[in-house]
Amino acid sequence: MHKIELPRRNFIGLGLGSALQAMFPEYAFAAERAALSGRAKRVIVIFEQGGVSHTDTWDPKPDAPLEHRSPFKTIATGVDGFYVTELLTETARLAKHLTVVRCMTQPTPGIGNSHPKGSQYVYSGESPDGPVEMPDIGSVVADRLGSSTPYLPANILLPGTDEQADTSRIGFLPPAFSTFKTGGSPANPTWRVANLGLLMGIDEKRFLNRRDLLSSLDVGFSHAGQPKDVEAMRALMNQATDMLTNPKTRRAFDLSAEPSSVRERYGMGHRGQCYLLGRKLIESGVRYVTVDVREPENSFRDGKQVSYPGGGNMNWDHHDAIYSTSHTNIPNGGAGAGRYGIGTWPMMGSLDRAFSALIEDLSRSGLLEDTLVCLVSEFGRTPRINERQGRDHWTHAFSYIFAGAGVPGGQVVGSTDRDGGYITSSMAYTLEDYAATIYEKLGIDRSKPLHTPTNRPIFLAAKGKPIPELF
Amino acid sequence: MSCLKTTVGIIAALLAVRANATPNTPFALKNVTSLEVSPKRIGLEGRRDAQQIVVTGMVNGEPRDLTDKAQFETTKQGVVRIQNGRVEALQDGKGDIVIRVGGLVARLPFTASYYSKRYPVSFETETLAILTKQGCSTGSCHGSPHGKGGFSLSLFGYDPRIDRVSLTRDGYNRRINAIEPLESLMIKKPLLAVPHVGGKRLRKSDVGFRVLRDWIAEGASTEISTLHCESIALTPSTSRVLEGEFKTQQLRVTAQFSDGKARDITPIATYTTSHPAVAEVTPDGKIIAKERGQTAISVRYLDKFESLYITVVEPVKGFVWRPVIENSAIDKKVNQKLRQLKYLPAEVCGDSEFLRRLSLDLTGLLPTAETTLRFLKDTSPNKRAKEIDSLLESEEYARFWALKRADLMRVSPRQLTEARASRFSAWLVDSVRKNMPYDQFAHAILTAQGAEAQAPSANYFLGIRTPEERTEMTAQIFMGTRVECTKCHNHPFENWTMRDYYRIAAVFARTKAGDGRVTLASVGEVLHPTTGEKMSPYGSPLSSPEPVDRREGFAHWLTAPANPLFARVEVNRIWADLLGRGIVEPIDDFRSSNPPSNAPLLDYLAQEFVTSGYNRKHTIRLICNSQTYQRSTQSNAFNVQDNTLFSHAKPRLLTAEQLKDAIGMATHTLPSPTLSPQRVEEAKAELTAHHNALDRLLPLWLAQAEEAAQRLPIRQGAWRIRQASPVSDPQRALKEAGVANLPALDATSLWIRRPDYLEQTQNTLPSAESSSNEGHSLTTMARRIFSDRPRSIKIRWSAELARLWLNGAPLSSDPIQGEREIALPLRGGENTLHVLVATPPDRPAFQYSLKPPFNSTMVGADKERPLTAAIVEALMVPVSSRTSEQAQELREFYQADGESNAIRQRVASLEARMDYATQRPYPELSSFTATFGQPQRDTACTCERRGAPTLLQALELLNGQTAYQRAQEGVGYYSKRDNSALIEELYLAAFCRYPVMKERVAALKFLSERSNNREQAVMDLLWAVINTQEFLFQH
Repeated sequence: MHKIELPRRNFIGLGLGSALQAMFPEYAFAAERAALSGRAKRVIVIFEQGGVSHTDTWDPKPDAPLEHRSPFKTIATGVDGFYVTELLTETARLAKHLTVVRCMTQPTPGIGNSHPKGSQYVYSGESPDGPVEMPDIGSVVADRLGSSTPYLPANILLPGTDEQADTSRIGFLPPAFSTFKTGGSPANPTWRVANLGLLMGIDEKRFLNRRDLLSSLDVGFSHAGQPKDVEAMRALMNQATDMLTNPKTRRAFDLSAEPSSVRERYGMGHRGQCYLLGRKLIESGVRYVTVDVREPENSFRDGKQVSYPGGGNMNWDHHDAIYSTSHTNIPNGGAGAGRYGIGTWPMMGSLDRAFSALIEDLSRSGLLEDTLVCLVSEFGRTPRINERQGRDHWTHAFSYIFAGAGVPGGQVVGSTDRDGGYITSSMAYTLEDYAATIYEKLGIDRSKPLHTPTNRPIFLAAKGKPIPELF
Repeated sequence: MSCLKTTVGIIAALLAVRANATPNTPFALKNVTSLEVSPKRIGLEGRRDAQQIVVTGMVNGEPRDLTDKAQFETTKQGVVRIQNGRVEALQDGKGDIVIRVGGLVARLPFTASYYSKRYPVSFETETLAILTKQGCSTGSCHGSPHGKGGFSLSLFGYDPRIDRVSLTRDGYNRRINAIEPLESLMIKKPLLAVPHVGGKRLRKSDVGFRVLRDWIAEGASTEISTLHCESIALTPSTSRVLEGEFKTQQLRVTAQFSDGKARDITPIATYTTSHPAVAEVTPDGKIIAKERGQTAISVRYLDKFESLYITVVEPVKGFVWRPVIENSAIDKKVNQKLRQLKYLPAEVCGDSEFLRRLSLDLTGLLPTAETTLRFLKDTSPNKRAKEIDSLLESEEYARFWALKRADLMRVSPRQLTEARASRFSAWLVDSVRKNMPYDQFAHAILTAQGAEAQAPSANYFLGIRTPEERTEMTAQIFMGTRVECTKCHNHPFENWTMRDYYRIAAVFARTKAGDGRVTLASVGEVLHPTTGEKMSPYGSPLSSPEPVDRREGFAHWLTAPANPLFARVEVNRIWADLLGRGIVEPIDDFRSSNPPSNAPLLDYLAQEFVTSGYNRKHTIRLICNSQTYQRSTQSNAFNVQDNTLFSHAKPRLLTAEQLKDAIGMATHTLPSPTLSPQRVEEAKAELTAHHNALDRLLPLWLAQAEEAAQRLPIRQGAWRIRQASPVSDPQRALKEAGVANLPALDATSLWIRRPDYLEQTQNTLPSAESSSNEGHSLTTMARRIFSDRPRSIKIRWSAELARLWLNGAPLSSDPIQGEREIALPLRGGENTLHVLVATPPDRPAFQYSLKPPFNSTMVGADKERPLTAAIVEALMVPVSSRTSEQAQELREFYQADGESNAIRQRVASLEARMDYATQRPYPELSSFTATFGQPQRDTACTCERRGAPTLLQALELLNGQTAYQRAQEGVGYYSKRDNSALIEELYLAAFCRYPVMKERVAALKFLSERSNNREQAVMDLLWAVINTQEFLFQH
């Protein structure tokens, strides 16, 4: 049995709140369970927002009626019985590392059938219509396990889009555990994280001079004993100083430090560089990384500006012209405008490239041993093609992909019918099961509830069970 | 009100006779002067009946529990057995129980009857109580919404029907085994005879074991009986102090049932303590003191809940009370509590500390350096009181305290519009400025009616629409009570029930809000979600006839002086705003299981608030003048552990708004808002000067504009609209309408000018203007269209039902429904378009667009601004025949140039004080203020404003744009001063004090070492000062 590292006291919540302190003794227990129930020390969730069409990717249906069949060929992977479509040619070679769960479903249709609610459902692993607004899984993880790297936040979202303002939530947890959203486009050579790099005009020398002056002036304040907030603020200022000056912080975000062969392997666009940054943060020890990426209309490729005309909103919401070879803006189109066809580079092209690079990279470095990788979406898309040559939302069956941290490789879990519409296997798994899987993999004790400010006990993924095939 | 303490102890003082004290009587017991025994007689019915005795003696004037020190004997042997004061029958009979303690004797008569009669265990009143007591039906176990391990119970047994199914039907019937009761899962699981995730929950010695076993053995009847518990009563019923040799307190709990009988439920009631470190309570109801402090012992039985406050006093080595100055009754109450629990109050804070604290508390702002100097130099003994009075009269006070209120009322453009948020906010500011009595304030909010433009408090209902949301918000704001639990189940820690919740909701069921107005509907009910019962509104007697406005009764109940919550909640909020912590904490979580840290203090403040006529300023003045408020943050050895009794001041991180303004004022980049009125006047004068300059060029502009208007290929005049009239048959009315019926355009008396309609190519006639409340209404509109030559353009419109005419000729033979696009053949020169439209209530009447859109033109210096249709029409009138109204309209249009608008905006922004986070009408929600916990105003909970420091805040301060820019801009002002003056003024502005030697030396050294780059050095100094702990905290 390998050595279990006790999680350090969460650096953001340092000294903040007695609830946390009361919780602290459990950490040892939680860490012990981690050895037994799961092996993940960290998690990277790739959230491809909009509802990826499962029948065009992970759950090919070569026998579906011709008029509704995906035009993309079904191809074999290195693993017997594990087929995907040709959109995943590069990833197919790595099937031996992956489990694809084809029997994902939303148990109560309608709740998570919109993008805001569906995304919130994925972020929190809880149905968004409950009596209490739930925090994101990542925030719960940050609360429960803290950070293993004092100079980096425990829960990072990159780069994020405008939509997370509504879908990523802190719920009833203190704001210290909110996700740290980087924003911006890592593919842009001038990109940097706001507030994490020093401000323009303040170099490290000047910053340290300022700090010295501050220390010599910070003497006038006499106060009672050790007021909690005062001590906490002092510690946080020290920690923030460390983050601002610690080269490791900058290194974690510095894509230019990666060899160009690696950067190219991930794909030199927005998606590829975001996935690569996700890997860097995981490598730096960040506990929970969410990559929520959408190729922007005006993007970068190979460090140069490129644009995808008509692609104002390139998520996976392919209501119109899903097989377009460029944008999906069609006359009399519906809600699917602003995307690019699923087979194009800014969509599956870059995803296949980046995801295969991520798996390859993590496996080669050995990080896959204790890193859980999840590739998820709110739902799938209709098995039938609509009158606008698009596919609409489908919550009855869709596919999630898992790898690492003890997830068996080369495994297909569950099955759907000839069209990919309904689950035919005896098992079916929900978003709550997905959340329970993450908690269990991290060794978080779900029998210990969180408490709201009004002291209502909240159990983690209360309606879910870990997906047994992933353990 | 159901959550009021209605407990009346059944205590009888019995004749106590002093007998000869035995030689081994403990010292303390020698001072027992009288004995009280509860109950006064005991009647036991059946073999399972039992009664708890509580023996109370007066010892040195204090009531003390002597139950575990007393000796019990019976005059009739073998009839009853007494253990730990608990009396059980052994057979039928009667006699006396003789109680001896401290040389006193009391006699308690008893009877035991029906010993051999069987009384089966009652599912509802015993089994369910035991499931709560053993913890089975709590929220973290099987009482959670999804249950645990497939076994689900209603929370604390609030719904016996759920529990009946769970216990006897679910789980393949294995939970109950009536043939072999001990094989039931309901017994084996909690005993841990089989694995149980919840652990061991039951022992064979527990009362609960016997109850469960017997209930199962008797057939596990789950009959829902008609018997229900009406109330429970505790003995003792008032608070107790545990100290010295008296470290325990036995409770006796009785339940009053609907059959008129009271039963002893001490062993099956559930006990909890709010502060387990202070005292704990055994399953038998015996309270045991642990350490110094205060706690609430709460007793739950089914849906009933009562609490008892316990104070534990311990000797503190070396503690000697030192008399201190007491400025007011507040100080007396605080010091009494401190003295009782053996804490020493801190010293009084210095003038600098006081001024900074007071100014931040009352106005949200730092005092300016000048104010500070004036205050420090003032030698009059009452200067603190004078400063309090002066700040309470300031505009800054009104705005800052209105902001606190607005946080709770969700005054935000997110909930309302910006205009509505501003109006509501202005109303709140005005209520604080005028010191509106708080009962009137609550009444004005809760019974608001009409258009919010006239009655801005109506925005309360416009921001929150459903009766449920209104219930939760109103309860939280005005009753300090979190009722949201009771939406789905009875409150776990209080007497609030689902019925209470839906009865409050019923108060708001007929309050309709929409289109900027609040109206009362004549129908609308709230049904209980599980029983379907129609709920009668809270606060009104059940039998009263339906009132005109249900909210009146509720507001009257709420604001009555006898209401136990209304005044207490508000004074507690004010106290927490000033002292950093409520007497009840959290401040909106009043419940009997959450005791005030100083109940006499809270009672006094509430009483004072009521008798002063709900005068908030009076309360603030009382508190600020107290020594308690003016205490130092510096603690001493005898108060450092105290966080709740106000022995010393608590440093508080500045709120987001305070911090933002403080950074501005300390860096001298944000002028003091007291200068705002003056700055408004200056800006207005600037506007007048600008207009005067423009006026000189007016004739020139008019000439240009007239010429430009003539050049337009197509021009349109303003709509003229005839007010709507109701019709019964719109189809027919429209069909019959002929050109002859259309009034001519000049019949001005009938027409309303609405020039503001026409600026867009897409025009909507709003429903409010065009429809009545009943049936369809008919609106006639007309406008002139000028074309330079004959041409055809397209018109597209949508309406419920409409007819159009061009130059008197109908464009269609029949009324047209829905959408339509047709050609509009214009002739050269003047054309007239008539529209007749019928609309149902509450719909947009008529939307249309013309293709191509009308051209417009721009003239004068202000090229960006096209002439509007109304202006074009006015320009088409020859100067001689222009009305004065038209002339004025032209002048105003001309004067509304970019610069005027900019100045006007500046005036508006200065008046609204938009630059001041503590003063503006609605939150700016910048990333800076959001980082420092400014609430989004999404809930009525003060917990939305987060106080605990975070890493993001530290990053923002050390490395954020706000601190950086303010420091940079502040250089301009500070660097003009010589080093010594600079440092002094900066310290006065930031800390209200002069720098001490150490600081002076450090700052001087820093500046003089960098004299070659002085601006950067000054900037760094400003940055350092606003990053010190002393700056970031209020102290």
